[in-house]
Amino acid sequence: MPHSEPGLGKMSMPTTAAGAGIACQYTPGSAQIGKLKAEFLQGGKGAPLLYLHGLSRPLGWDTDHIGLALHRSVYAPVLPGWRAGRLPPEITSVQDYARLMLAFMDVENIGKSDLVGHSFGGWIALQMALLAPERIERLVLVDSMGLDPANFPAVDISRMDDAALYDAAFASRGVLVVAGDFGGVPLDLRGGALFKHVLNGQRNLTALTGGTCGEESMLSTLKDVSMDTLIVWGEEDRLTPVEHAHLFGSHIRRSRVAIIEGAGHFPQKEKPQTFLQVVCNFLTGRNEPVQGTH
Amino acid sequence: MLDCLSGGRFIPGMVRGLPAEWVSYNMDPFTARKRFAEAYHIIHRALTQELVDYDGEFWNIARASIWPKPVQNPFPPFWMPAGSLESIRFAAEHHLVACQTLQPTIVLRQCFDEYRRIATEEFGWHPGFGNFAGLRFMHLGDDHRTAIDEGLEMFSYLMRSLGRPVLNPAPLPGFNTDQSYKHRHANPDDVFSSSEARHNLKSPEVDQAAKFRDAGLMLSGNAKAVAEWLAEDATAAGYGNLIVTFRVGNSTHRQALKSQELFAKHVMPILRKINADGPAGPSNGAAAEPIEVRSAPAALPFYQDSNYLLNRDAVELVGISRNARNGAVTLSWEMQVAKIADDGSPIQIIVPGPAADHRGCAIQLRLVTSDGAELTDDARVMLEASGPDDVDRQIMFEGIYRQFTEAADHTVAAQRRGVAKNDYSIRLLVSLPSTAAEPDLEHDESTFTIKCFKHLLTLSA
Repeated sequence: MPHSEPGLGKMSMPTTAAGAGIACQYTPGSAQIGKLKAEFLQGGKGAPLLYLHGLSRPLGWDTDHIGLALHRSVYAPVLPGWRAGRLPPEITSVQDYARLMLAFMDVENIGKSDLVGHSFGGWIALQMALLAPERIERLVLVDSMGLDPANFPAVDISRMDDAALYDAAFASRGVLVVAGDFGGVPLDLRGGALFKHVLNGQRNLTALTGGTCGEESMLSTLKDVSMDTLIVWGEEDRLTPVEHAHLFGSHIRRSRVAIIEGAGHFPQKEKPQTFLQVVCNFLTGRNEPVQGTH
Repeated sequence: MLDCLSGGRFIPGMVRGLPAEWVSYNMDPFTARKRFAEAYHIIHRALTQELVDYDGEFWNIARASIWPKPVQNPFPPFWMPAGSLESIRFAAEHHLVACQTLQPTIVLRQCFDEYRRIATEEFGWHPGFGNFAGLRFMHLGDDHRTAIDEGLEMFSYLMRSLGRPVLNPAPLPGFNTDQSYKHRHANPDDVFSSSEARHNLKSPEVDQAAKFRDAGLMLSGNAKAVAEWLAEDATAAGYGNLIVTFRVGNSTHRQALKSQELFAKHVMPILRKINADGPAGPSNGAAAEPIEVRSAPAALPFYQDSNYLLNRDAVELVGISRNARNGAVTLSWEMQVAKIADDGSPIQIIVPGPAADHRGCAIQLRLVTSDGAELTDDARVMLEASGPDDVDRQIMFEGIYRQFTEAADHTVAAQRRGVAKNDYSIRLLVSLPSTAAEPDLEHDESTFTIKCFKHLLTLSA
């Protein structure tokens, strides 16, 4: 007869390396780089990760920052000129921003970092990867600007009115129900703060490039991007078309592409959970399929 | 223990925790759903099985046992909040009651509709109103206007005090997927994110009490107004259970008692008539869970965790009885579970029924007549237990003797779980026509063995 000892069970609970408590804590900072000052948010713990924004500057320590900070020490700078909506005279090209962000890493004592760039920030990230590949551990391009191929030319953002920009930026329309801290909550894409800041970014980009969201010569330089690269794209992006994702994927040697269904130019806002699963899997070396991607 | 203390009225509520709690404990929120599922299965097993082994991704438990077992058989009804598709599917799969907290009526409706659809289309059962619950914060008073003003202050206090520390800088990722709210249609009155609705809540120009009420946050007023609103809410949302929090924010004990009194007297009689399930009642999962089923595949082993044998040598055996009535004779081995010990130590003898991983406790029976011949195949056999004065009668096996003679080693499985507590009787009965040759239960070759589980709680430790 089997004998057992009721109540003498053992119980164990493994701890996790990353936690929400640490990931939710962040501090605002300011780095003086020559005559320019770069404000930034920093949170999380671990190896550094530089997160460059796109048309809209970060509006706070948002869900995407928290998700990345579960695995990394995240630095989210505001590009100088982006808060005021007016470019500083020291900045005359995308490469200037790239050099500035490398200098930012120096000031913050970041030797080598993972680099995530969204939209215009992706264009800067590409330039950084070309200028100083030894400083970049892994590269993540999210609906990145930068390409202007003849068959899929970059859009001219300066020609877009509010309605056209809104239509191009988002896959969803009106109010979208997303996951909140207390169930599903509506996110007003058109009337919310995000789109207002996108309009500010449109002005800055127009001032910097005349409104063109890429450069013809970029495609031929992609063979020199040497680090592991993830290309993440909203399938319904009409600002930087999804064909650009596949061009990046076919020209960057150590790259893979993840297309997020039902997202436009801002997958981290429209599909934040999917976005984070894709990016964090890449950062942590997991190779798991993610629902809602292909 | 709570189920025993409350006489079988315990309702376990299973929650993943608020995001703020995952922040406080510094846990990875991407693991929340998996942890919840593991915890549910462990607790469920602990309530329904004698010994629990669990080897999961997050929890490893060996030989755990809880005592005493719940009064509700086979287990208390589980409730859980279910707003996301994943939670709704989990609740529907396991027949759990789905709760919605502090949400407008339309959101409750959308979630419960999705639960019904999934239960019907994916799991083949039809939920009743009792499978749904709404939660409302409430304050009632004799004077309508005064009660509304008091309710506003109570809820405002709650938001100022308890609400603040749980705010994260942004919605925590990982709790849900982007597909979690596909069933939800955007509702501009949802105060948790709609800037217009939030503005209206703060605006002195709008009727704040009505906004709080319609947002599902705080219902206050006199009994008549509260009853009318709740009747509409329950009918439109489709819930059959209502959870009420009377103690809100800085409300006093006296106010809460007054609210309860008014609610019980004037509101409950109205609500009882709404969304009442039929006699069958809601499904509490007993049918869905593979814990108690009438027949289990013969390929499964017998119950493996037995720690006790009920047989002719067991201390519980008190005698043999014979009754002749209406042309039939019934003989039985009579067993008795001891009364509760002087030191308060209780005992339970459990005869496990079929479960997902076994086909029930093994019952071996051989019966011969006084001349050593095998008993006739069509004699009826029953294993039953009951409390003093025949209360709580449970039948663990009911069949004919042929089932034993045709089974390997004369051994069959218990058909249903039975729990014999202190002072309960257990009987193994054999019935046959008075004209048939009776078995001799005292014959050396007439034997029985029930491989059961004896739960003994010693307080000496």
